[in-house]
Amino acid sequence: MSGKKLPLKPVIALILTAVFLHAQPVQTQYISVGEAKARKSIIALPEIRLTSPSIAPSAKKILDTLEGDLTFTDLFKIMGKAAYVENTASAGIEPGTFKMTDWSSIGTDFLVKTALTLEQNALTLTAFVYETKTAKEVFRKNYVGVPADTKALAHALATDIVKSLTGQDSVFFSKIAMICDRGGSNKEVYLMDFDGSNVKQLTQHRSIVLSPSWNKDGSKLAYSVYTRRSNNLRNIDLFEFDFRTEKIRVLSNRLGGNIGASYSPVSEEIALTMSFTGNSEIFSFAPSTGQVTRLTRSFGTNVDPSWSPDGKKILFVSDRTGVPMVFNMNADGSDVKRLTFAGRYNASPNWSPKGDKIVFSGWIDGRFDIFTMNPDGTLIERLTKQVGNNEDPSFSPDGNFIVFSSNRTSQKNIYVMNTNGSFVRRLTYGLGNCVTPRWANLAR
Amino acid sequence: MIPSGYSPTNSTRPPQTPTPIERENELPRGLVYSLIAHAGLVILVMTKTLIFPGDPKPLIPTLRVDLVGLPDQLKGEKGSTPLPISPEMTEALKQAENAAREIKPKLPPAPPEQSALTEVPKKDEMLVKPTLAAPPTTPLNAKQRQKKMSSAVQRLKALEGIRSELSDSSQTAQSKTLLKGNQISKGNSASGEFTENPESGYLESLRDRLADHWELPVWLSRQKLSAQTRVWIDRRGKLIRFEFQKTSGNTQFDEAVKRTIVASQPLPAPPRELSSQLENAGVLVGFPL
Repeated sequence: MSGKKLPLKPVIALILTAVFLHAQPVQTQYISVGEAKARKSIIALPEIRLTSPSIAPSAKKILDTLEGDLTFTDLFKIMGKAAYVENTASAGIEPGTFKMTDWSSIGTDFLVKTALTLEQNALTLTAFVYETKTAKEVFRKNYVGVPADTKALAHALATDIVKSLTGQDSVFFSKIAMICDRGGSNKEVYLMDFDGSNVKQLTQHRSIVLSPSWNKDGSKLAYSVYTRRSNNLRNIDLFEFDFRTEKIRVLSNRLGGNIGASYSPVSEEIALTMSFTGNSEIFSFAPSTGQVTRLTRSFGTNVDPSWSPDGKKILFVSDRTGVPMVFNMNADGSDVKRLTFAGRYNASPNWSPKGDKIVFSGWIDGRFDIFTMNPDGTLIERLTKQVGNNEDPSFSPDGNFIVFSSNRTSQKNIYVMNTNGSFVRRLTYGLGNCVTPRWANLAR
Repeated sequence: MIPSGYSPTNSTRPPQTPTPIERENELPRGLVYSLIAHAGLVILVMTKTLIFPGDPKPLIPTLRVDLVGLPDQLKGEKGSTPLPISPEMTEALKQAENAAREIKPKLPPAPPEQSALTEVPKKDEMLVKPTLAAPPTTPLNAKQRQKKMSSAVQRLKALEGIRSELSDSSQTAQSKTLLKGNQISKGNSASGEFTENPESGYLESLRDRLADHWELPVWLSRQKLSAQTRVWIDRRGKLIRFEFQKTSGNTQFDEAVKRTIVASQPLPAPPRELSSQLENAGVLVGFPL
């Protein structure tokens, strides 16, 4: 027993030391301030200086476009002209030729000073962008273009302003594809600019066109068309429009539906719903070889595939559990996980470009509304409420907006809103019913 | 199938268990080693925080959310539907009502001229129905009645106040949480000593002052950036200095943090218990956490 007695004392001593040490904790006072108040930055866009009065209409168009672009972002507030105190006659646009305090004193955060010249049928827009509080020049740049494309000059300047101030890419050159019926029974693909301007009809199938989808660089657009075979059999075939060659080709005309295409963001693959097996299943389609790989195997209907931005996951909608719910799987069809458990009908999921959010439409209060959630199905947040049906949500390429269709004015139109549901704007007018808006990834 | 040469008795067996004496000598030693090792580990864990003090962890209440349906409120929308008052609330209300009824101001002794038979209503009591032998209305009684009426009105007012207060507090406490689809179960709140501390009142006011000036451009507020600064404050509430313990990695964000601290001056003057600590060690401020 001697072996047991002797070492116990140091053990007790050690324990006591430990207790003693523990009795003196290091305390640091800590406070967390919490989320900051978000404030729109105030930007002043004073009149463009002109070399000749003949280009005044161009200057007005540039200024209007610039103002529209910056307002669209919902990051900036345009300083009202009435608040200007600067003496326009004496002040210049270059650093040192005007008083910065004229702008900082009226509460402006940023100042864009511009001049426009016309030489040999080329418009040159010279821009100086300042941060007024620090009186620093943010950047200066010349933009050259033909008078027919003055809007592009403004879009380019707006893109640079947003990029240099916020570090973010913008959508000012981007296009949105959608399906509109223009009041008739045919539904065709239409294109428009991000702000709803410059609408063009892309297809002339004189049929019903469905589910447009852009490829990763915006050079191709896939869509499905109701076709009639020689034996009078109706089918839904998958087409592709190539903007480089301006040509249309049939990608897949397998029996039944070839619908709901979604281009992989990393490869040439297309995920889509096909029903030649008798049941609607998600397939992966290789356009170069025309071969398909089956991804889903279930008794239920599987539709609306949407790739994650890293190309590793595919979201889809399945009613295998009774009601349509959003599911997630690996790009090879393995590891199927149910994401939504709430609600009675959740449809058309779409990933944000950063991959941090999923937007979908869900049935609630007798209508469809837009919801967002985390990629694991947690934190479902409602973005629209009590304004008709809101469907087909899709993220903008910069991840700051959600475009969707809504019948809040009885006709279906395309709307855009911030990712928190605020700042809703209508984009389409006079195009009949417009649905399934899809925002192109890159400028075209 | 047992092999033919196999016999359970003569097969090689594992060594026998040690004798009782061996066991007696070994076990305590093992125990001692174990204790030493454990104590060493405990000391290591405890001294580690002294030698390498880590970042203090802020206490944030944890809540469990059970999803039962799609949320019916918009993102950022506060609960606007009126909430039913819980049984506890009604019970409390009832008790308050009873208590209010029982409160009786001390009365001067009844006037001697009134007979014992006439039942004069007590001063603080409402007369629901007249008693049989109602006394003739004397000027004194009229005065009493008036007093009685006014005290009854006051009582009703007080009750109304309690009632509205109760419903208010129940609404503010629950309206944020009781939304369809985002229902919050009882959950645990890890507040604890930190908020019970009398000093925390000061930290709270400091937090409020900073939060008032804490604003970001929209694009920064959308990103999940955070920074921590240590702020030294003298006993009058003057900002001595501040330094970043952790920067956000975004200069615009860090500039906004600096602006917030500078714009929040003068800071509230700390209580005596905290003043030396704030002057020497400062206080860690997390933007936003």
